[in-house]
Amino acid sequence: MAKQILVADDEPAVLRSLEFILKKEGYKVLTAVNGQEAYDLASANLPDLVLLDVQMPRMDGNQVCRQLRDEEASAHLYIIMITAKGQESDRVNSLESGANEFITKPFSPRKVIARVKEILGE
Amino acid sequence: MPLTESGGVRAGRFLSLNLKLALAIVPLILVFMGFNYVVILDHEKLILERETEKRASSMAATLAILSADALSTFSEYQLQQNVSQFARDSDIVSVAVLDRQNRVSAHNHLSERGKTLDTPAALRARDSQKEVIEVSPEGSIRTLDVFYPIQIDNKPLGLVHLRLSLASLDQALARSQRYLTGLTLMLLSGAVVFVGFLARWFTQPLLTLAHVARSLSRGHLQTRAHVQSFDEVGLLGTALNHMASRLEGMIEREKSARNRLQQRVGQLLEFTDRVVAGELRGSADPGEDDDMGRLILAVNEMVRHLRIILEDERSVRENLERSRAELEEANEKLKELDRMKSEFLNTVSHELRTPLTAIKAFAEILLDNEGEDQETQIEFLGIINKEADRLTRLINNLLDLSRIEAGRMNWHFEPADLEEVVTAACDTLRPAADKKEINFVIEHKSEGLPVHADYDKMQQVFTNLVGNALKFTPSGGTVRVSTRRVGDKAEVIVADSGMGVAPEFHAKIFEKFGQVDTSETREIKGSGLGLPIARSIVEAHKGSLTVDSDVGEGASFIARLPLFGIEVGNGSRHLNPPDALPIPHPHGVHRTVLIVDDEASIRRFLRHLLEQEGYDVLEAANGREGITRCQREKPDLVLLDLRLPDSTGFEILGDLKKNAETAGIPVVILSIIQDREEGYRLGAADYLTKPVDRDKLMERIHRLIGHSAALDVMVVEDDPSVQRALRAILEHQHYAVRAVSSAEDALTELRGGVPDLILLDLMLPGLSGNDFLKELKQNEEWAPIPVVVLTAADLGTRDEARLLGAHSVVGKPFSEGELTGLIRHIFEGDGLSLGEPAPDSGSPPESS
Repeated sequence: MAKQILVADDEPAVLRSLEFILKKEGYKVLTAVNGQEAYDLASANLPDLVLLDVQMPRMDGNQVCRQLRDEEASAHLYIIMITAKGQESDRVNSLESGANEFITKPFSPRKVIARVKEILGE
Repeated sequence: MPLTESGGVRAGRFLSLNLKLALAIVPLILVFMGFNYVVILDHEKLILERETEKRASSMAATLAILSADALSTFSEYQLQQNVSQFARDSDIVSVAVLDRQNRVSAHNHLSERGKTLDTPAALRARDSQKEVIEVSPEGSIRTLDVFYPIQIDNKPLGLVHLRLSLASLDQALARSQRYLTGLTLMLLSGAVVFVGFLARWFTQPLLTLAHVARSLSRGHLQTRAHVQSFDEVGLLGTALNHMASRLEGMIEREKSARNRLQQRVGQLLEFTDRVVAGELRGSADPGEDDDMGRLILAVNEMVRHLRIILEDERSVRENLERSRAELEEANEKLKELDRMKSEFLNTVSHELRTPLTAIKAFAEILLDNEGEDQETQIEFLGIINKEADRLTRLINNLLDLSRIEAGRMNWHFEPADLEEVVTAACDTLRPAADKKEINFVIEHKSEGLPVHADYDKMQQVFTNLVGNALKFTPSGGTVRVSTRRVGDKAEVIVADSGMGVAPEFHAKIFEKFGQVDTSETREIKGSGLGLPIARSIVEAHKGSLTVDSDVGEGASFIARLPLFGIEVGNGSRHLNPPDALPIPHPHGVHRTVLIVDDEASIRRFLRHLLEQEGYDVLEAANGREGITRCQREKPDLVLLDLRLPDSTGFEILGDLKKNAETAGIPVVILSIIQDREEGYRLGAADYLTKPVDRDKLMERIHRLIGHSAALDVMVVEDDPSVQRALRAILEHQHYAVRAVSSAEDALTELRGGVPDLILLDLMLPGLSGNDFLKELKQNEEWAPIPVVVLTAADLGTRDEARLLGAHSVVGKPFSEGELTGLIRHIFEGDGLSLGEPAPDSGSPPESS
């Protein structure tokens, strides 16, 4: 059964690129365009991997991450933060909120796929 | 007299004057009386004794005669008869007749007869046959014995012896003595009484005076002696009264002087107390010019000095405090600026990375997936293209904003009709509105809104505002754009029926990336730079852009721009000849202004103003002359009065504009007549009413024809962006700018011509700023050029620069105002006016 990945980004173009490359690798992809939607989808579907943009309307990525970690069912989800801000404080924030790792924008789709495959054990 | 002796005086010190007078007079009387007593009594005794002797003698003689015969005849009887006769006299003690042998022949006492009387006196009388008289004290009763010889024919017969008693005489004498004694006593007592009275008479006034003196001495200074006489005592009393009056006056004066002094001392103390308490206002009244007055004046002076010192100290302290506060404030501002800068960079980084992420992702996808179907490839390429566009827009916006903020925007100001600008902006957006089915209304409430504007930038503003309105208005909503005239302002309102902006966000939406980041708005994408840019553009046009909105009530963006004095024709964007465009001329060229005014004083005034600013001035006293000079000498600008002796200014203006040769010369009307409409209709470039506001006039002239002969500033700065910013700032102030990137280039440039000012960065590649300064100061020609050092370095470096002869040091970051203010100060302070031709006219003119 194909692994399920949730991708959340408010930028349609970025979302589209991630969705495309992940689907192409055969993953089942869920997409969300804001934090609220991402949280709802994640807690409902408990995907194998969550890619969260940090800066999103309604609820930012860190908040989503924190809320998911707070609930037992979603506490162990593997969460990768995608951030456009390269500052140390942003990384610290992401890790503090419970993210497993982070990717900075702009990213290389090739490397993202390689990392995803590694995480999902393929 | 005891009083004449010092001992007596000493002894009489405590004796009263009465006693002294008595002591003086009583002995006198006693002496006088004693003398009288002795002399009178003696004299009386002598007289009485003589008389008695005389009587006794005569009686004895008589008896002798009577007895001579009887004796010779021995008639004893006769003798006895005689004797008895004489013996009857009461004073006769005894009468005897003696014979030659001194035997008593007859005696009134018969028993005595026959006795011999041989007393010395009797013998002496018998022997001398002379009368002998002898007084003998016989017991207590004195007697007088008289022996008288009895002779007949000188033949002694015997003696008569009479003994008379002196008792009656002595009694009379005693009586006299008693009388005299009584008299003496009477006199003495009278004298005592008199002396007492006299003394009293003398001493009473003296005692009164003594009493008065005592009273005075006890301080009863009103006491006066009642002077009744004009004798010595009276004089003494008068003198005493005088003395008392003088004394009273003196004491009165003394007392009032003391009171006055006390009062002044009190005032001075009060004043010094106030001073001690810290109240340094006012001064003490010196009162009189005496020692006290001088003391008070000295105290006043001291207090005044103290006040000055304290004030100085206070002002120094205040200055220090202010400087400290300013420093702190500046520091805070810097920190805030730094924080804002970081935040801005962070935001910019994020905003740039987002489209870049998409571009990068899809580019890589396309590279990796050559076998992808064409449709997908085209989709991806479309995304890449769109995101690249977005990136470009973003970068352009950022650059625009930074250019405007740095004052480096290349504005193309021209007279334009704001209605037309707004219409054009709306036209480009109408398809979007239609697509979203928005009721899009445009209203022009006045006929033409002449403004002086950069047409494209202004259109950008309204495209942004209307675009935002369409973006935030839901389908079926309304966007209303209206234009109108409000006073001397053109107003454009862009109102939407979107979600509105809460008042607390009104300021934020005009900040860079300051979009209201709520869940709703975040979904409507924007760069976050549109409104800041729009506001910057409007403000660069001396206008304002504000918002009026609340949540759920839609938003109205209100742009106000100053109306510009042109009459707008039918749809033409360019109404004035191109020559009238602002600052079309290069720097460093002399500009000529023609003044057409019949009033010589006004011409003189304007000439003065213009020449101060470095313009060449031509004058014409009437319209004809004005037109002639204009045609002949082609000034760069005409200042035209409307009231001229030979024609109206409007006629002259019309003539000038009709003539192709002079039509291009901008004409500024200067008049008390308020008829802008006509002026602008005839083509005036500007219209100013008298009295002329100097700054306003100069500003208009600068805008129309630029400065005359701009000052030349050399910028030595290796950082291109700082160099650009400096150039922009300086050119904005109409300085001619020569910019070089190294000290070596600067030296080369200097050899080509000396600038009026050098702006020097200290951190330069190669030759350092300080070394450049040294070199500069060693060259005689270059040394006087004022150098403003720009440095981000610490104070030590600044001090070094100052030591090396820099005029001033400006720390980075600096504000435009700070820099231009300093430069203006240098030029004005050094006596250089903008009118002086730049020494280096050979430098290439800079285009603004």
